[in-house]
Amino acid sequence: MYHYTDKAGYNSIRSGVDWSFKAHQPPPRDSDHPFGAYFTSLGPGTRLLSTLISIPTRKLLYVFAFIDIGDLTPIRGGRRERIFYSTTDYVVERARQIQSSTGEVAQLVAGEED
Amino acid sequence: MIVGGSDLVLFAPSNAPVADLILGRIRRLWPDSQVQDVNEDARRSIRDPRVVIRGGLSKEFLIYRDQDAVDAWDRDGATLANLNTMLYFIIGDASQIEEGLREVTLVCGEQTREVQQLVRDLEASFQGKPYPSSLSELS
Repeated sequence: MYHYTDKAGYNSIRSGVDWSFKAHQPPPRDSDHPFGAYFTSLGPGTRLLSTLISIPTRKLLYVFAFIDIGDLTPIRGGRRERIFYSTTDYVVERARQIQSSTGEVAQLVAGEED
Repeated sequence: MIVGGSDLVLFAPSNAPVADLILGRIRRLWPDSQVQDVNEDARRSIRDPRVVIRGGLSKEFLIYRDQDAVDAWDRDGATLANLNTMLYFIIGDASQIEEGLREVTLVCGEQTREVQQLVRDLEASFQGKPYPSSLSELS
């Protein structure tokens, strides 16, 4: 499972031993999604990622990856296998964390291509 | 990571030509739109013969309002400013909820009057009925 963010978000989340993803209210005028912390099953390098999960490209620069234990709720509709949420802050303990050196999406994608 | 957009779920009879009906309706709403199957890189005018003939085979596709919308999405992705300039359709398999139906998901931004009318029109057309709206109601 993945959580994308910008540099500030990345540094904030990784500052603790456990990763804590804060639940937020999506902008009510432009979204009908519930209050929650959001995640996706789509990894770095996915074509049309911003479009497929409705996230600005500036928020797709860093990524956290962790082992899914099936406790997240899928959104309704055809994106149910791609977008998941927790209605409260979501904590990922160290054992589930998949570490990368910088979390930078560009670096991870370049690594896959090497 | 805050997921934008609204995921509106419609249902259509499983034998309805859903993609063709969607493309026909959007051709009236956005005559300069560009269509992209999510599995392909090409964007084509909604009036392109390849879209008219083969568009109905797509199960997952994007319809950008015009070329400016394509450029903005390529540059910035799903920003609040862009959300209402592209409609994203996912045509599902037969519904697990009700036999004989299939799920159709429309991902859009703000649910404006225009979007609400579009949804009503699509639901009617899936049932084989004429569009409730007239061209004059559309911006």
